[in-house]
Amino acid sequence: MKIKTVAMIALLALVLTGCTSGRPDAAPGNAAAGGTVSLTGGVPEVVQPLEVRQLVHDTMKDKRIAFIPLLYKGYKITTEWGVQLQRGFESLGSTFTVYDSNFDTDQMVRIIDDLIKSKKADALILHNPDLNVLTQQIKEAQAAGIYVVVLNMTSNQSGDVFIGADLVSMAEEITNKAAVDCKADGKNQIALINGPATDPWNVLYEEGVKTAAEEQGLEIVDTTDSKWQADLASQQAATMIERHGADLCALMVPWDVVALPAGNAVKTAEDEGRVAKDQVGVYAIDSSSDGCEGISDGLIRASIAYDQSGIGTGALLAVQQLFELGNAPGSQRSVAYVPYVVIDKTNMSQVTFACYFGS
Amino acid sequence: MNRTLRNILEFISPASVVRSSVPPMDAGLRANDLLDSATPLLLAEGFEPDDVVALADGQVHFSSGSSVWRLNGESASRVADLGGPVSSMARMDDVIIAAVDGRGLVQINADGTVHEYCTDELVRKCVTDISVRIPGQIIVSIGSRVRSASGWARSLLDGDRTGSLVQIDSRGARSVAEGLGWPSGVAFDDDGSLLVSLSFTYRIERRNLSAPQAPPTVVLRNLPFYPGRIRSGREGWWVAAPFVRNRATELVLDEPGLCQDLAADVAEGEWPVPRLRQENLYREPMQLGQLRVLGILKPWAPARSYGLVFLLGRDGRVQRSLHSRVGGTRHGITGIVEVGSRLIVAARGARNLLELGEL
Amino acid sequence: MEAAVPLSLAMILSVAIVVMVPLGINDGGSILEEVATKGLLAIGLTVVLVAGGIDLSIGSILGVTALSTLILDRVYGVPMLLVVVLAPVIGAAFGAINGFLIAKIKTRPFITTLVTLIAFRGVAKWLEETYSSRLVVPSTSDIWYFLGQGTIVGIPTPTALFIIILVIAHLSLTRSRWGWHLTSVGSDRRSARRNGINVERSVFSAYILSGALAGFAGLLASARFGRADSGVGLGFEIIVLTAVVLGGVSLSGGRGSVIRAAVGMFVVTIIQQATIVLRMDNGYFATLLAIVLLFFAVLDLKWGTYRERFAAKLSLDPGMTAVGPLIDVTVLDTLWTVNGRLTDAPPIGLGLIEGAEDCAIDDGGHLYCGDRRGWIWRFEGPDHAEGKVFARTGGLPLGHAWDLNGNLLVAVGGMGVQRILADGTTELVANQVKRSRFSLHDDSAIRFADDLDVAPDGSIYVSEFSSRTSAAEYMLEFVECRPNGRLIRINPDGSTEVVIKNYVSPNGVCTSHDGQSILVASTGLFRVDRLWISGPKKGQLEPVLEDLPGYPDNMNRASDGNYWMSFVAMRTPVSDLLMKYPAMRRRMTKELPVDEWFVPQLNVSCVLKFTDSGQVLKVLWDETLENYPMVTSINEHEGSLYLSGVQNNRLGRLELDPEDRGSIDTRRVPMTQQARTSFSEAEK
Repeated sequence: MKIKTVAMIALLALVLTGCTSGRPDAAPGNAAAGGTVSLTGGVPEVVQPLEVRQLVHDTMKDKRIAFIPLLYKGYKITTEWGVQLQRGFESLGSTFTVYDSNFDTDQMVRIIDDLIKSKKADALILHNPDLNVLTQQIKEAQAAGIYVVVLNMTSNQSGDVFIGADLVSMAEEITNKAAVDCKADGKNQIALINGPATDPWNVLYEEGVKTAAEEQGLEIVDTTDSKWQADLASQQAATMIERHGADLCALMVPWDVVALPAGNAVKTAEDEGRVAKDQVGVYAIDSSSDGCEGISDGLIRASIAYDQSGIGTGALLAVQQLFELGNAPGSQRSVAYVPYVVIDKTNMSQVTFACYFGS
Repeated sequence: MNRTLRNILEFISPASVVRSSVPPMDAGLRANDLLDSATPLLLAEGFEPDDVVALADGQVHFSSGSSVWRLNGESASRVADLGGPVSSMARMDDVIIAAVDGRGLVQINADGTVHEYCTDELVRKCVTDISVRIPGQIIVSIGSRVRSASGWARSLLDGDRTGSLVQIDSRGARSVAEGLGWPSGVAFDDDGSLLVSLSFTYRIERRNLSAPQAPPTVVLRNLPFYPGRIRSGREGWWVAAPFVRNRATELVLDEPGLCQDLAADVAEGEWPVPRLRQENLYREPMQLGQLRVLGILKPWAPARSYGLVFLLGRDGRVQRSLHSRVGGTRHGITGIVEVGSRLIVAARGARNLLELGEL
Repeated sequence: MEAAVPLSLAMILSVAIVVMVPLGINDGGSILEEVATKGLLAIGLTVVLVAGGIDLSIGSILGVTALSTLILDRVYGVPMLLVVVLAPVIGAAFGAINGFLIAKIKTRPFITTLVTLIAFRGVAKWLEETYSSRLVVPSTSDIWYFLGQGTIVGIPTPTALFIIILVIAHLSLTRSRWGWHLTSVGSDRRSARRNGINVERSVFSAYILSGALAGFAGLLASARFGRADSGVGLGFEIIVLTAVVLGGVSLSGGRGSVIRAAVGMFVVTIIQQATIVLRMDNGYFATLLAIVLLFFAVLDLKWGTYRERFAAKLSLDPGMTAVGPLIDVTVLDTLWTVNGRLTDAPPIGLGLIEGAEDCAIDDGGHLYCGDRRGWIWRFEGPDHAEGKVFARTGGLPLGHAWDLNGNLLVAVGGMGVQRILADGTTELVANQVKRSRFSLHDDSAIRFADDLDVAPDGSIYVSEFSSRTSAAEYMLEFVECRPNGRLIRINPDGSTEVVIKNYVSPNGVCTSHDGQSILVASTGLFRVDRLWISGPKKGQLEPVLEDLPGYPDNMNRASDGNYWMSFVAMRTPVSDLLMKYPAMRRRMTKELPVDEWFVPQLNVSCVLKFTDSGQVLKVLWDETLENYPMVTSINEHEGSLYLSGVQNNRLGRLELDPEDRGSIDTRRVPMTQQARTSFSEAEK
């Protein structure tokens, strides 16, 4: 018996020494591979214009950039980004591919895993549905020498560059707008139709709305999770009207794709007489051409438009900079925000980046 | 259809594939031993009665070898030697019409004189049965154009379908049906239609001679034996079945390579096809069911030879039958005639004439 | 082995995909990760399926547990090691709900787990709504990293854990009592209950195990994905079900192994990886999976129905044999010409005996013979009129021989070689040999011991007609005619050794008169060979008689220095021709009932005498087949030839011609100073 126990302990010790926890050390990383000229440290101090152009083309030629959004086809927000990226990268000689996961988080993770393991991309452009889900992938990509650019939805694990909008400030501003309308009506109850709790958009939006609401003396009476699905948003809007009827003055929805069905639900309730006309306003964030139609139809009272094509272009620029500077992925990280403005019926046709088409 | 495809189709949808099978002998064909207990008429040796007729005076005549004989007590006396194998006989008023291989149809008068009746090329070979409608109008069945009457086994192996029906009248001989599978028996019905037994397709059908293009109606189909000569009786028609079907034979016939090898390398008497009698135990094939267990050969063993004659009623159903089962000796029934209330049967396999009284 | 058919189809599918789609080594890692997570679910589902149920709620249990582990860790700060232990416990608790409903309340598994699938998913949603805002902060515990991305001796942790659990599960299911009980319950619940197995407890334990494994898989999923929403594991049950059915686990219970389920999981994951690599929409994968599931479920159904018939059809594989010239025994005035010399031999035991394949006579003249009912008869000498059952073997007694101590050795079909003692009790001599190493079929049992004889050193040489058929189905060997037989030596100490392997249906065995060789008759190849057991040619096999016109059966020594042999069947031209057509013979066995098969002429009564050098001296027949239609063995003793037939109801005793009588005692083992030749001497 004794020999057996000793043997077991020895085996266990052997096994444990062979175990690793898997937390990667500082990534040794290789410099950006590919291209005939590796621009480490950026453009030289003195250089001819034609040389510069050649340098850029040489850097970007044959680089493979992959964009893996959670949703793509049919969603203007991401196609807007994708279109800019495609035009830009293709003209520079890089290969740009979109991998559409069609709202399936598992599929998205698998595709990213496959890209990293098979080294099919030199740069990844990610769109996080959840603060934590791509933590490991970002780490692994950077360790494998792949640049990571994150768009619009932050993650707890930082990529090389994040390009998005200052959602907290936008939320505060739209809440202020709602407060103005609400006070004019003499009411102060608002409700949120938000997204999944671990969604980065959700977290920041709620923070911004809460802050502004407190300041303005508005009361948030209800918060629901629409999971970014139109039918759920519509149902939830109808329920809120049912429950809070006379005192509700604003529905805060942080995305026009779900704000429109909420607006429709409000309209239906108005038609059916369950709520007074123009009592409840829908306030959205982001305004594609559909959103602008909603504003002109009166479904959405006001929205914050932020520069979506700017985000796409921003990613394009960020990737070029990363390749030109040539630092190891994960060695230097930065965050940038795009401009935004409040729009409603009065000014939406004058704002350049409002009512974007996604093409 | 290719056998593999047929098997796959049967696996997927069993009801859609029909396989040929040997039906059991039941109802009117239920097995018995009546032939084994029949009275043998010839006690002398050396005969092999093939066909049998009775003249108006009740005199029984039979063919054996190249001669026609008259039954005389327990032996027989020769009526005429016809110079070639006598393959069938029929009674026409007071004379006997006999088919002789190589010679044609001859007429034998009561006094024993012989003259040619019809020497047409069509009837010179392989006449299996003769039926007289009215004196001067005869129908003859030809088993095969390429073989003689003793070539049944070879034709079976070859899949021969060159049998025909020939009508002989004042205008001569002409063929009224072609491409049949060894027609082995013909008999006229009262209304002038012709009953034909087709050996290779195991059926008895009725043809309308005045409308030869009309398809024949099937009286009995998928019989468990190869039907032979048909003779009319008081209650219907007596049909002789010289050979009984054997599933193993049909499997062999389905293998063309094996059939070719059999025809080339193995003597005809040793083929795995039904025979009139078992001649050589040590050379003929055996099937496992024919094994003697505890000294007994079971009567329902697979049959290499069998004795069967049955009555086909006017309603088209088998009224009754007489058998000699496996293990019995009265096999290979080739001819029948009803004489008064007695039935005389030519059992070629048993080399004898049998009499059954009290019908 | 027949479960290998659906599995091999699945393997072919995956190989085809690997060949057609540019999957590389890198994909291997992704595939292993995926298999590790869902593989645990597959193990649980297999266990439940084998127990005769089904568990559709595994995906939901995985989801709930995944969320629970995150909540426990981040919200309640439970130490991670405890969380690791709690995860399967939580899963088991949910599984217990399933088990309670199905095993105790006796609801139907399908509908119950369908309901719990929805219910547990609802619990997950509730957890999500209540806690997810507090799950925002990421976890930093090392244990999460270890579970998700760590390695154990170089293998990624999830894969290593999966392999360990797979091995444990496989051993438990196949080798432990619990596993046997589970399989019995799944294949026939009623019989299991009647045999005293606690059906409720088995089924309950299956669901608990399934839940626990799903819980552990949830922990691993959290470690790998870190998703804090309730959609984790959604749709996994269908993928896992497809994988398990692909692997050949039967949906009707009682059949299946977790190893095969794991292989099925690999195949499904390969398909999935192929869809990713080919950049096909996720919908394609779901549709493909549905088609594959449908196909394999139908296959499982049809397979289950026709399983035995297919197994039987697959197992018979006739071979093509080239045969030599056939002597025509009907030609008159030759050595072989059929005669009636055996016909008038007076019968012994007529009406008493049923199927004595061989017989033996002792010194007192008493006759012993076998019976197909498993008995050994004894007929009192010298007239053998009185007979009684002497011993009961429990099998089909075939060849008889006397051993060196004078006891009767009998080769018993189905039992091996037995020794009958003087008082009629039987004892086992040998019934096992070492299994041949590369044979899939377990041939370690001596199933069809046919004839035997004793060598001078006391070892027994026994022929095994076929290691693939049993004695009752000898006709299959006639049709198959392959080298399935062997000659076995049983040493005096009881150990066995196969001395001739891959021999075509060895039947008669006879020690030669000089004790230096063993004559072996090959029934299927119509020949007699000699195996030298001593001298310069020891161990070699050489022909003695070839191209016999019949199928040789038992052989025994004659008193004048020659040998007697009988034929169990005669060759016919058709049976010879069919030897060239194995496909036709196989078709015959598939499409015709046994009664209708073409066989050689088994109704034959033929005995021959030949010399040591292979010259045939005389041939005796019963041409009427009335009395001795099949003689399978002849024994000479004191001027009489005893005829035995395995299908006959008597023995025969033929008076030998004076020219055949010699001085040798045929029962004594050659070249030995045998003390006694039969146990009747012991009685004296």
